Amino acid sequence: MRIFVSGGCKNGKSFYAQHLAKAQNMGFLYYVATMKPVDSEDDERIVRHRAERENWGFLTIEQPVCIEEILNKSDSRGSFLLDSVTALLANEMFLPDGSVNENAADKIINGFSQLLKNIEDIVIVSDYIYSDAVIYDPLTEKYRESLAGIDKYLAKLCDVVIEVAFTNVIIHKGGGKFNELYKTLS
Amino acid sequence: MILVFGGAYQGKTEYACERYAGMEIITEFHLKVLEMVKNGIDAVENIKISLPEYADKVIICDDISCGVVPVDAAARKWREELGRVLAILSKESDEVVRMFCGIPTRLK
Repeated sequence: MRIFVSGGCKNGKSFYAQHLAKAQNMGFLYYVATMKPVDSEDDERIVRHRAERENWGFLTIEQPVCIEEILNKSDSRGSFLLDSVTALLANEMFLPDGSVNENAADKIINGFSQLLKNIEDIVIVSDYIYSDAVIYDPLTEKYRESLAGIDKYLAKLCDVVIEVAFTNVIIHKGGGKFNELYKTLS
Repeated sequence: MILVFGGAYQGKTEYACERYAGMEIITEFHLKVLEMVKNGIDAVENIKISLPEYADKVIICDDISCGVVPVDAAARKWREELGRVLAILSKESDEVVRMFCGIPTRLK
């Protein structure tokens, strides 16, 4: 099934999403990495995360932009974990030459529409960055609005929508389907 | 009174316009409270006095309570005052809805 996971940072989303992806099916297990490393700290993080995931049997696909291209690099019958929409948007919106693509959200939504037509089992992770007490500059607001647009699109399309709050789980959509999958987890 | 809250851009207004068509909707209530804080008005007292005015309305408000404690003193005050205000509005409302990625959850 198609599962959308969001919530605040550092509360167990990614770990939870890994469990769900593994439980989904017995075929190939893919980790779609969207983060583009910018410094040595990122490099170290990637090495660490990759080592963690290898024990789970994940094959890693690096896809920082043009998300639909993972269809050419994988068996679409497999189980996918995409982490995260947040990084994907940053890469698509803030381009290496310093310019800004204001239509990045449309491009990503188009990519996901192709993806979700072809992939049955996927867990997509995003970040809930909408509840802090800051009036941001217009560019940051554009980024937040764009991410929310993609989140809402994915929440509509996915079978299950989950919010993770400090390792607790709120099921916003598809509780029945989720419970079936969860039984295989515990 | 109906209260619809949630993070920014979560589809609050869209939902309210559809679900509560015909009712008067007050949007961006969090900015109203910010103005009060900036102007030295006691938001909690002000809202308490204004409650009868809101009785038949839908109030839409961003939840700004889940970020890092702001460095700026006014922003800190805004965040705390809005928390108190939302607690009052929640208590007085007939319905309270929280929006998450376009999906409503009825809390009351």
